[in-house]
Amino acid sequence: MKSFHKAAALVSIVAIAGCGANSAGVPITSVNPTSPSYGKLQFAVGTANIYGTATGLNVVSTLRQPAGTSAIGVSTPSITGPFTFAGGIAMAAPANGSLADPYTTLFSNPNNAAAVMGPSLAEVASGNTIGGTPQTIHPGTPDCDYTGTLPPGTNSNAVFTACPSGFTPDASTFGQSGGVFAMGLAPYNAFAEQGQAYSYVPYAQPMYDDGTAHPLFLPWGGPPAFDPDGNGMGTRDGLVPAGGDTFGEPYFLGVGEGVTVFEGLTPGTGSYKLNVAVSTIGNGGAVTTNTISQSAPLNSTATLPAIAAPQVVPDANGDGGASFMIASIPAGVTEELIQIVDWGPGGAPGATNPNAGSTSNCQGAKGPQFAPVYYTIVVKAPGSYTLGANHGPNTNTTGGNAHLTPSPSICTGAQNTAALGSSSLGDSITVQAIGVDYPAYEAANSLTAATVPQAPQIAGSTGQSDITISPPIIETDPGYAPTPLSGRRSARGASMHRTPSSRPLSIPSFLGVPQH
Amino acid sequence: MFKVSCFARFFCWLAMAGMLFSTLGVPLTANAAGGVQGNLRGSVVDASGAPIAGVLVVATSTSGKFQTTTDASGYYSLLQIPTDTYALAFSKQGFETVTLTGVTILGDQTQNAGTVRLSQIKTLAHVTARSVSSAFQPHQTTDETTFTGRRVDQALGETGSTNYNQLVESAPGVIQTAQGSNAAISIRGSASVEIGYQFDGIDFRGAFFDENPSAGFLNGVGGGRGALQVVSGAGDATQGGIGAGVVNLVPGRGSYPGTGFVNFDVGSPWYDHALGFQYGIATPNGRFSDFFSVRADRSAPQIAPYGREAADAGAYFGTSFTYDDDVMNNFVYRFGRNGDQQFQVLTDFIDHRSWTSYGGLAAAAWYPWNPLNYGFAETDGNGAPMWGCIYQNQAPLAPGASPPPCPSFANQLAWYDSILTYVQGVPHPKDPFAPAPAVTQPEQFNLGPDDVLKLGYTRQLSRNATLNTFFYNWGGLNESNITGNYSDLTDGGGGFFVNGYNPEGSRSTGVQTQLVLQAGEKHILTFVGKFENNFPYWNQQNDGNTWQGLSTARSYDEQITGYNGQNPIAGYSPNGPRIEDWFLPLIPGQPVSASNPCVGPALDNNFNPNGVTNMGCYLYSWLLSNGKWTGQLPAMPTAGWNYHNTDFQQFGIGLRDQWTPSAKWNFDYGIRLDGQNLKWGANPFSKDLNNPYDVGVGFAQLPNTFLYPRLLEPRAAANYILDPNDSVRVSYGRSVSDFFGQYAGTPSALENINPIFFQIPAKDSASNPACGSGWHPAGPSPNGQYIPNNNTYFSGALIVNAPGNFFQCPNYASSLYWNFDQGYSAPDVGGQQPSTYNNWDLTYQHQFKNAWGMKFTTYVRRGFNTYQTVELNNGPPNPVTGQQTPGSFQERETGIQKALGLEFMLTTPDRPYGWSGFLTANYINELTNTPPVSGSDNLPIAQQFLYESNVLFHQSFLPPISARAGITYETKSGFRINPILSFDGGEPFGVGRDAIGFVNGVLYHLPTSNIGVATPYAGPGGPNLTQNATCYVDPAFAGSYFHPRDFACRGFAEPALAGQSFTAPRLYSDLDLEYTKGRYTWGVYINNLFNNYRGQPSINSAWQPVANGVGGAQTGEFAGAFPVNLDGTPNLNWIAGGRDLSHYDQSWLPFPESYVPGINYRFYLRISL
Repeated sequence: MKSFHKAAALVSIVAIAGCGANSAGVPITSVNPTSPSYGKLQFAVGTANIYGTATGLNVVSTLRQPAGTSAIGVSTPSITGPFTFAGGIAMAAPANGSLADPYTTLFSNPNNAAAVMGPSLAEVASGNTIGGTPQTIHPGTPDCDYTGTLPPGTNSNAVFTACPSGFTPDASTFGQSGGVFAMGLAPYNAFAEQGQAYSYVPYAQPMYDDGTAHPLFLPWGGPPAFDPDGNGMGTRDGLVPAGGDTFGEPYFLGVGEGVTVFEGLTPGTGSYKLNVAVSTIGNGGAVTTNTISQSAPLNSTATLPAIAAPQVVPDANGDGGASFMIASIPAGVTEELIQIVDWGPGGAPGATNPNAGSTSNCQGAKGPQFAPVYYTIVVKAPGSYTLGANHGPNTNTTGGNAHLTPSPSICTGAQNTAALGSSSLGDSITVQAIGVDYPAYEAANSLTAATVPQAPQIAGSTGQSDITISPPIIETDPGYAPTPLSGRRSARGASMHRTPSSRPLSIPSFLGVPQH
Repeated sequence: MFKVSCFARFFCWLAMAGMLFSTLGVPLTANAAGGVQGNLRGSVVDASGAPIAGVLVVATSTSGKFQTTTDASGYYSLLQIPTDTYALAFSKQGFETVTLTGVTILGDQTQNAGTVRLSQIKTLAHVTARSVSSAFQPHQTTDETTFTGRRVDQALGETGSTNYNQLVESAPGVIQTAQGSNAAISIRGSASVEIGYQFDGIDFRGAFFDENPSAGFLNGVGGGRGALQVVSGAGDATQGGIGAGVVNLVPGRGSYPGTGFVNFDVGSPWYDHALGFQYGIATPNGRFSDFFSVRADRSAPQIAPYGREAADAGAYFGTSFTYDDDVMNNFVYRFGRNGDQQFQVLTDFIDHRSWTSYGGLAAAAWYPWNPLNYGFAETDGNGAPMWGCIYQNQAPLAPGASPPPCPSFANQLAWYDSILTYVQGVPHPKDPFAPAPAVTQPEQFNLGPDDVLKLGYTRQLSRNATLNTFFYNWGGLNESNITGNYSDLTDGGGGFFVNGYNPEGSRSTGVQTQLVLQAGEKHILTFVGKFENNFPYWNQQNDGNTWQGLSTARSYDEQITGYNGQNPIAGYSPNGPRIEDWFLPLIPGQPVSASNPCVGPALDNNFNPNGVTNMGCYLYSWLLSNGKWTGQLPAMPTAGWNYHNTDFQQFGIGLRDQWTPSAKWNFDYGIRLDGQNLKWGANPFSKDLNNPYDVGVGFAQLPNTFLYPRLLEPRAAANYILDPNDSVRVSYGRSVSDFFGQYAGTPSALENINPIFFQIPAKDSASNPACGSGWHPAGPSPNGQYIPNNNTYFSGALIVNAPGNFFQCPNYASSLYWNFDQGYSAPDVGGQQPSTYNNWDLTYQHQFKNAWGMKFTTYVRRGFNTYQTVELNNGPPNPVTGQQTPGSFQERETGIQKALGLEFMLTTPDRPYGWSGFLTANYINELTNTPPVSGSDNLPIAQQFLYESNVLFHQSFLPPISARAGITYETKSGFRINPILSFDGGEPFGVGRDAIGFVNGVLYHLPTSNIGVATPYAGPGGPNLTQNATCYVDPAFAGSYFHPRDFACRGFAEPALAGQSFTAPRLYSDLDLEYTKGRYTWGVYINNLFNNYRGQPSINSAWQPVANGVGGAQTGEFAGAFPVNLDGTPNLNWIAGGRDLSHYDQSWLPFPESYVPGINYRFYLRISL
């Protein structure tokens, strides 16, 4: 009997042993990414006056969660509306697998001497859609442009690929890397294999422009207007992460200004729509795709007046600062972003890769030696404006958080000579003005605020968001005379794009001995 | 004076020689260990308490019969008798014989049998009938737990079980490690390299990481024979060369009458069957005994739920099939007067083989012998083309004209194919578009066999002295695979190996001697010594390695000459071998000229495959100008690694005194010296025989503390018997973990060398030399003069901020060898001294009235200079990104370990019927400065700066709380029920929210991030991997390092530090049921009775965040499904056999949970013989 009791106790113990069966170890908290209470999509469109010579479509959007940061890490946007592709637009093919995102047509094709960047064949065929490649397309699927025969009149320079049997064209403007984020359309989609975004660099502007007339520019906002840490150095203080993305481009050279201008589109009045497809993977691995949408009107196709870049004059006292004069603000323009880019002595941008071409200067490792330095000044009224003397990158690279040392904003010849140890000119700069009729600066800069709004204002008083972009000028030492900056200055940009398997910049990763 | 009248003069000579060497100060003997033998002492008195001399004391067990007589003080001792439970018989004419039962002899312990009064037929003594497996061992001085007899069955359930680890985990202080660990067990928080494994007292540790050569299979224990001992901590002074503890498997011995069994097992639901047979026999007088044991097991695979492929569960390298054959024989011959001499021959042949699950390798570049794998050799590390071309029927080039494109890809392929040497079994990529070879079988990744031979000799030299010595020789290929090592298979993105055989293993040959002397009645002195030659063996050669050496050199050229946007180093002029040397001119057979230029991608033509280069055709031009051009270049030698007969000698000597000043006190103290002589194998490309791996500066210093470590280890323990049922013990010991084979680094090799390469001069010069590792001091050497040279690929400036030193190459072959060495495996060796540990423990033991025993131990363990794998910094952090740029890794000894733990064990008496069993429990809190990376005891390759941060991390591979119980209930009618329970309170989990990185040159603790320097130091795969980040920063604006703006997290609230969150507690239940009738036993062993097949979660590194806790469509997917591009060219991203994780269970989750085997059954029949 005693044994029986023990046996019963044993059975109890064994039964208890089953209590842990199949228990999940980790609680998962999640949100519904497409719920209106979580992600708020805003969308506005307007006309674009590009260099005073071309018309395009300006697209502004935000998709933020309540805390103000981007709501969706991976999405597939598409824009529809009463626009047309301009006749003769250069339709583009993707870069044939040489990019981390092989489907996007927004990056140059190394097999294409013309480095065409434009809409895909399928998008042009659709007539009024700019889109992306669905995330549901398995990575590794061959990129291709058309089925059947190549449409007549296709840009002969592009290398288009016929889809194999069973495949439909998957090349698109945004590819799988482009999505909608806290400050608009950008190639920031998360790249599953690397635990990062494809890119942390905004699209080079104007989109669909091949850099023939003028080099493309990156809409990085720098100090003094964009200064997240409040130390006057913008993002070049060493406290903001820096590195290279899967396209080989350096980030964060500034704060993205949220500018996405499509050249080669002829906007028409009417309602435009931004669809954002969000594919999530659920229980059992099933993929569900939901779409959130927002419409925006374009009531007028009138463009803002052409705008010119001001001549930026370095301070006569050689302190590294500069000034410029804005004589007038064009009608309709409510604010201008004056972009000053420091390329170092003798530097200048490449045509299709706006980061290429910078040189070492007095600003040290974080200066143009790494990548061009961006400054932004917001102008809302005519007058004289200054770029302070010490908005350059932090040069105290051993001082940690507490000992930051800003450098001259635009190094003079003397400063460069002293820093580089050999006779040197002062820095070359490029200047460009971006005029808008909506609070573009406030919307973009709100990302750096302590409290980030979920729905910043992105449309002007007319209900649309118009933009005018000046031709860039380059000013070089000596004299700093303004000279129009022509495109196609360098063919090097195309080679900068690298596959995600690119090695670290300094030492080959396989230098290490094999693990054993 | 020793009598050497025995016929085993050889062994006596060995013993004497050992003692002589010890006297001369030459290191000779001594690692004992868990110990296969122990001592017995006691005294005999008459009714009045007066000592009785001449009483015959006979100790009898299945291990044999041993006898002695008492001296004038009534004192007796039996030295060096096998560990076992004995019956003692005391007899003398005129007195009534007295018998004591249940007297245990533990390995290397001295058992005090107390005082026996012959006149009263009643024992006083302090010996209570208990088994060797009782937790209550009141005379024990060091922490040792022994499993033998029924205790083995309680732990394993089935007598014929081969589950080695399950038995070891039943001991207190032993904790099961996280899945994926190198060692299945940890002793007091040890990493895998700190555990000592022994087989019948001989050191039985794998050569490269001290792995267990038995591969987790048990043989020779069970069925009432043999034992398994676990010594936690330093042990006594006879034990050395081991960091945290020892597991000693003591095989059974034969006895009279002979007994044994045969068992047949079949498992379900997956394929599993086994055969076991053992039989022990002896002559009636015990002169001959023999124990023979065989285990054979076939099973596949342990993946749950039933029916799934290993790959389906994400276990791409999980074992799909394994077999275990193990044949062991233990022969003992006793001879001499009263059998006072013994000769032992122990042999074991172990053959374990395992295969992966085929067709499911997620990122296998070369699987299965992919003929397209040359694709990885087409470009260098920066993506620039590397291939030349064989032109045919070309006309001379017109002035100013450019060479035509290579006629076809086949011409390039022909060039590539012609200059390679293929190792056996590797297919040529002659037909790039042919389909991949069919997969005909899973890949074999573990290849036996091992063989063990032990020759032992024991002699009772006198009534007060016993000598035990043995010689051993064991080794084999205990770990290898046939298609490259593990990393070869997993490296899909930048695969740089091609297929090759990768045999590795070792052979150990040694002698060990132990002399035990009874010094008076209160002291037992032990002199121990050991000397071992350990020959780690690893030989991996293939052409791909050579190619990679050239590729690495080329990549470096590109970077320091300004290619790819880098700042050029002025005046750099590479003079080592380069792939361009192997290019051919437009018209082979004619001198290189303007009209017959050398063609191929090179730095000077911006890597245009059809460009003219002035940097190429070196080999061709030399061969042509010297009349040795045969129409084809000589094949490229193969490169790889070869240990060149490296010998890691180990030795140890120890002196121990077991002092018993009174019936209550037992002291055990001593000191030992452990040492090693690391003798590197010869390098055919270095004439410096004293420094074959050409090191000696920077991180590759070769101090004597590294090459010839000598470390003293004091040991002290005390035991106090409070009363017959209570005792306490305390001990301190310093222990040393010997260097193992990996400390020899990766010594380079170059083989399959066409002799012409020894005639071709190298391209370097006396002023710009290119040979050497770069780690050699400047100055003269047998290789010539070493001078600094910035123009050689591997400049020491990369590592120690100074140019490396090199000597002029005697020929092209030599330069090729050193080019590979510089690019791939430097530095080979160098470091400090072996790891040392201070071990303290305190135990309270108690025996309950019902004879249950318990012991409760608290311990502190502190490791110094512990083993670590460290990436060598190349210099200060990048001033822009803050990233440290790593070079190669090195085995270093800069680690710290701090462990505090509690152990508990409760045992019942062994009973033939009714209840019996045991319970063990552990608590451990362990800190280390090795970051908790992978949820396993694998030591990650960590950046130097992580150690500079002085942060101590919680270990990541052990549950802080764990327990295990084996309970048996047996009836006289033959039924037996045996539940086996194991519990853990959860394993450390997660990467934490703390990161360590440089910001503006200063090391900070930062919130973890997926970009920049704030990537987590924890997580699978290694430290600082972006994909392990808990949260992803907003790509629209990331914020700053100190205040990152996260937009999506995995949905799990990470604590501040990695390892401070735990998985859910788990309780597993096994159940063994048996019925025995006559000779036949039918049983079923139910494993994982309640089907708890979920294991711990792991980080899904292929998670694509859409929002907090939500993954995107490509979560778990990989680009690798299409072998051929649309234009018919090979898709370099294709991975043959690659599968997407997302298609399989849970891999769409941010934290998929791995599987452990679900419920399964083993039905068995055991027949007693």
